[in-house]
Amino acid sequence: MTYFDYSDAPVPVRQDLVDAHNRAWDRIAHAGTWLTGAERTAIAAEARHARGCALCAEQKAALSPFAVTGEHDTLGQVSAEKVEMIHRIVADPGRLTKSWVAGRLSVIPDTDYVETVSIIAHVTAIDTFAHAIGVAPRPLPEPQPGEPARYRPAEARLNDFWVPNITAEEAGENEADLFKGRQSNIRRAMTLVPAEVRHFFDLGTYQYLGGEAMREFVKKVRSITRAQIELVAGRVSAINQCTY
Amino acid sequence: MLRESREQTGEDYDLAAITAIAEDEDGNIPQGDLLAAFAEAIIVGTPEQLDQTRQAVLDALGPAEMVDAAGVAGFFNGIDRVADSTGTVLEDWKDAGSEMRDALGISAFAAQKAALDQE
Repeated sequence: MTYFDYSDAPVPVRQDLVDAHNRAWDRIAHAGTWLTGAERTAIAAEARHARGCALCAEQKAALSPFAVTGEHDTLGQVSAEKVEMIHRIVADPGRLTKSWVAGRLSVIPDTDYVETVSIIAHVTAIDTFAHAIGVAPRPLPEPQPGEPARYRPAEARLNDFWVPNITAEEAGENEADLFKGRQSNIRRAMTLVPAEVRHFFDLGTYQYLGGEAMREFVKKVRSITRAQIELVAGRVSAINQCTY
Repeated sequence: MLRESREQTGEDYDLAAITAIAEDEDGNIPQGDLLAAFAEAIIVGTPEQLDQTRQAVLDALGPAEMVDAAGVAGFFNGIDRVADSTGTVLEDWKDAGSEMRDALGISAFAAQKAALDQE
């Protein structure tokens, strides 16, 4: 299904990037590993809506974000626990803490939490791109019928991260594809729900770099150099106060 | 990754340009100042700042370059949320050392996060 063509964009958008965005929207519309298409699109909608939440803005401006309490401005399609999760991750990710995540995991199943993180990340990446090139965010996809796969990799366990994940050393054959080449911890982050790792890094292959291109520092694989790419990436992460 | 790029290419990039605010600092990366300003405007800028910096990138580099920069900014705005909501730890091979982490401001972010966890 075609959700994106960027025909209204002020400049041409690479077709491989357009295709990646269409795949991402299609995946959000369909049942995932633990959530239905309806639940996934509701999370996507809430993630987008959270950007205008007054409470989130107040918390973001506060010296101590957890000292400011109140009611989030919500669309009301997901649980209150999920609203708090989505809004904090959207609005102030750099000040999330281990204890806050532990609190979320006491009321939200860890698999549900990770799948939700992935949907937030997808919507954030694609909407930020639209914002950057000067077009309006695309309409979210209509949810499609279907049942979640409910696959939990046996090797996933809690270790030095805040959510269960799979280490390269412990990966089984079902997840072997996630651990090819030089290892990066960010690829481990969502391995509790392996399909989401594949989906998110499929998007990353076209919005950033993937596979062989990741290991290419001299030859130009995009229209900007690797140093320019990493400068943009690093600047965004610094503004977001990301410690990774 | 910028550090690795510097090592692989032999170019002398200024890593602190990542967190530098001054508009004329490009970190020895061609058009680094414009790209850094564009990235900043995408994430926290006003609509006017975003329009201006986008046009500056278009004028200096071109449309394909602006699209690629926008893609990277978008992806990292997403991936930062994955890292921060899962407690993803930095790999030893990526750790630039405490001095560089201080220069980039990462140590300060981590300290702030640790303090919040004590509340």
